[in-house]
Amino acid sequence: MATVSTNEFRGGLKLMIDGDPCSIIENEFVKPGKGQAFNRVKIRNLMTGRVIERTYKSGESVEIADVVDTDMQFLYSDDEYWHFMLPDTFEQIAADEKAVGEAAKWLKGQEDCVVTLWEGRPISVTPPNFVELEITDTDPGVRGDTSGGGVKPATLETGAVVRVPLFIDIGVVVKVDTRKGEYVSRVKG
Amino acid sequence: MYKKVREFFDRRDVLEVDTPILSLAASPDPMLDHLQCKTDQRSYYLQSSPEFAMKRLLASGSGSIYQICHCFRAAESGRRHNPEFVMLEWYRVGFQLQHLIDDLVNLLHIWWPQRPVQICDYQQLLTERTGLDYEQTRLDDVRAYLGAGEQVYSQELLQGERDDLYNLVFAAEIEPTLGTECICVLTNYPASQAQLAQLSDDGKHAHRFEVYLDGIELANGYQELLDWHQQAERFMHQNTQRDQLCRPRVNVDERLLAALDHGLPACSGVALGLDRLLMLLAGRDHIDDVIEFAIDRA
Repeated sequence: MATVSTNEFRGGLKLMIDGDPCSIIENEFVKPGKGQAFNRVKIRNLMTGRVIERTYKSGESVEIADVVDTDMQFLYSDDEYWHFMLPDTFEQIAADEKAVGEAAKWLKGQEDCVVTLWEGRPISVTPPNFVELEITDTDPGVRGDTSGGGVKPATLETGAVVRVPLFIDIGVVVKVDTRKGEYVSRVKG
Repeated sequence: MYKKVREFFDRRDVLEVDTPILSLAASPDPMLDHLQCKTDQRSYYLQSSPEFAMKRLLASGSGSIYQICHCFRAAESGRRHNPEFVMLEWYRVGFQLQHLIDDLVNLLHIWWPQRPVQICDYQQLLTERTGLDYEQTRLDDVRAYLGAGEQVYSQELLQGERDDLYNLVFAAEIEPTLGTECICVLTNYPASQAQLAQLSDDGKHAHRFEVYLDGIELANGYQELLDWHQQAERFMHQNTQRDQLCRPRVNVDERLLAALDHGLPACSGVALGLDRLLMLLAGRDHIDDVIEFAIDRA
């Protein structure tokens, strides 16, 4: 069991807490008066996404989680699994719905994603920051209609819905920021 | 800020001194990690505070003295800690603890002339805020109290001794609220937290205080222990505690003990973190904001 001392705590470090892999968001060193120092850390549970706080004695050892972020290419999805490939070895892994989560709505194939593996098993998928997808459905925009703030909903080929400017029509390819779920620009075809 | 501090002590005829940063001995405080360096085959500690050297001056008849100096504590780095920091430390000969508190409050009133002073008793405050009784409450009940709070503590922390546990209670529940709109002086510490302070006549309390402003611990002061036997015993006890914590023993300061044996005049002394004072004055909540080149950029 590999462990790490609180002295080496830093943002992004992965720890095992209550049987789940977690990632440190924030680490604060506290030393009250003249007493024992401790570390108050904010951590995200990578399985549930929940943020929790823990307090450790300074110098205490905590188990490290075998969690690695791996660059992988998304290949395709069947009914149950999303399949990813390591580009250099062509090794493939399958991630279930829970692991892929929100990322699914941005993926159509061949995107370079970051797959987080815990002991070799995928637990989460981060899509590229920007994806380019075709609009498959949207109402025709009426020039001068400002009731919706100059934007309207549009459905992308992956099923995701984003708000786009009125001049964007079906068949147009748009660039979307996956972190915010926002339209960025039209892609020249 | 420095100018005002120096003017303050000039007006009171307190002499500015400058003692060496390197010393063959250091404080065996079980919670301190010292930095060391070597020269001429000998290993020296970088001072964690100028206390021992200043007490040697006091014993040799210096009268009241103050010093502004850099101090070093390994592995202390955080929102309110930098391994190298600036300390203002002063000793007033003939002062009892209360006189020194008044002295410190006068200094702070330079910057916060309107702030009232609130004196709090350690154990009384603890009971008021938490219902826990320092002497009576069983340790398992303190642990249960900590376990029921918002913070989640590791098992290793909860296994701590009485003072360790109450430290956690203070840090989580009490300290952040001390010194809001006032200058809070926490005093009458339990004897086990006496450090280098004299004990009360009944031996239960320490003549020690800490000062808080806006939840930040700014200063720590003692009515100084004069008895060299007691001091030597505390040093030995602290080194035993260090063994238990797997921390290296620290060379005991024989020269300080000799000075105490020769005779330290009755006095009180206090150390104040000037970086933290600057944090408060500048309204910053990270010490890195007030240190030109904090440890990451040193």
